[in-house]
Amino acid sequence: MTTRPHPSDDIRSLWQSMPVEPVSISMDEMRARTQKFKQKIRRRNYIEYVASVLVVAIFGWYATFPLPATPLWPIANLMIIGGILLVVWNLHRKARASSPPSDASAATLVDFQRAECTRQRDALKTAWRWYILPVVPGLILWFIAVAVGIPAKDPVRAAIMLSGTALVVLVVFAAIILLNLLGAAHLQRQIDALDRYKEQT
Amino acid sequence: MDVRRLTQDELYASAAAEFGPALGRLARAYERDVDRRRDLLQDIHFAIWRSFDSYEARASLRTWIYRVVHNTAATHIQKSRRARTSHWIDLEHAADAPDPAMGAEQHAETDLISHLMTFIQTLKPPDRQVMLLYLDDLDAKDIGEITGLSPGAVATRIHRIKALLAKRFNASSP
Repeated sequence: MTTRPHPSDDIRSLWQSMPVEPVSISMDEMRARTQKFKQKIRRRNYIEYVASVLVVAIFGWYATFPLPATPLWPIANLMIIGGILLVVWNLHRKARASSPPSDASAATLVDFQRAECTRQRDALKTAWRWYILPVVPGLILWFIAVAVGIPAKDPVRAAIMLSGTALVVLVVFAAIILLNLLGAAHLQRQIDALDRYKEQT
Repeated sequence: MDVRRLTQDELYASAAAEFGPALGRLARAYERDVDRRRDLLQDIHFAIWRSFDSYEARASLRTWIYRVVHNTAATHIQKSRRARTSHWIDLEHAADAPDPAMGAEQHAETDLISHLMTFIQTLKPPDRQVMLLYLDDLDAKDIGEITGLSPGAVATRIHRIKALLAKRFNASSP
């Protein structure tokens, strides 16, 4: 197979003369896309609200159960409802805060990437506080209420089952926290690399 | 008549006409897959149009456009599930990285371009951006303004890029 000799030594000229597909987008399409983006945000918010209503309904219904026969039971369910509403509000607040202004992408490249990494790192690093912690007090009380309020024929077996369930919840929460912290550490390495890159000469 | 909107539209039309080919090249350098590249190019055009909503000539039009384009493309590759970030290298190590075209004395133009694209796509985003700006014929001052790097840092990268291009693609070092 033969190859044609390269016509120019200047790779930049070759690069700039490279054929590319033309793109044509009308202004109406641009505005339609903006509307679509806003609709997407609205839809996401509706889903959050519907999920919150469902959670409130389910734990509110649990709170009316006659067993476990202890006042801790309705309190625990109400605390879980409060915790989950707090998580939803936090998600909503963070999503609004993360919507970039229209000129954000015109920041210098290093600053933009650093800001993006920092925003994502902070969200992951603090996830345990705003995503996990709000439901923990209610869940602990929920398990205590079940333990003290339900008469068990076989107390040892009931204690083992309850401990097993609590352990599963604990492992799931620990895994979520760990994955978030690992993600935050990865982003921190990227931030450090960008800082070194900027200073490097 | 909404003058603000008209200005935004006019600015976009002017930018698309002047920088259209450059936008296409950059999209190609960031995204290998044809369909995803088309999406990226549309995202880039949309980001430029949207950015003009608040354009106050704080930076030159060219600086503004290149910042928006590269930031949009960098966000695109970071979001891409297929991005194998662990395989990205920096300019400092690129000289020692294996060259898939080693041994070929000369390339057809299309081969050379695809070889160059493959090489660019292995670079870490900051180095990739400097390389692409250099290939688009921007000078060190403009590259510094766009990237936010100091003149010394830009000069070092350009020196490495020239050496790399000369070694890998037998290009002159103007």
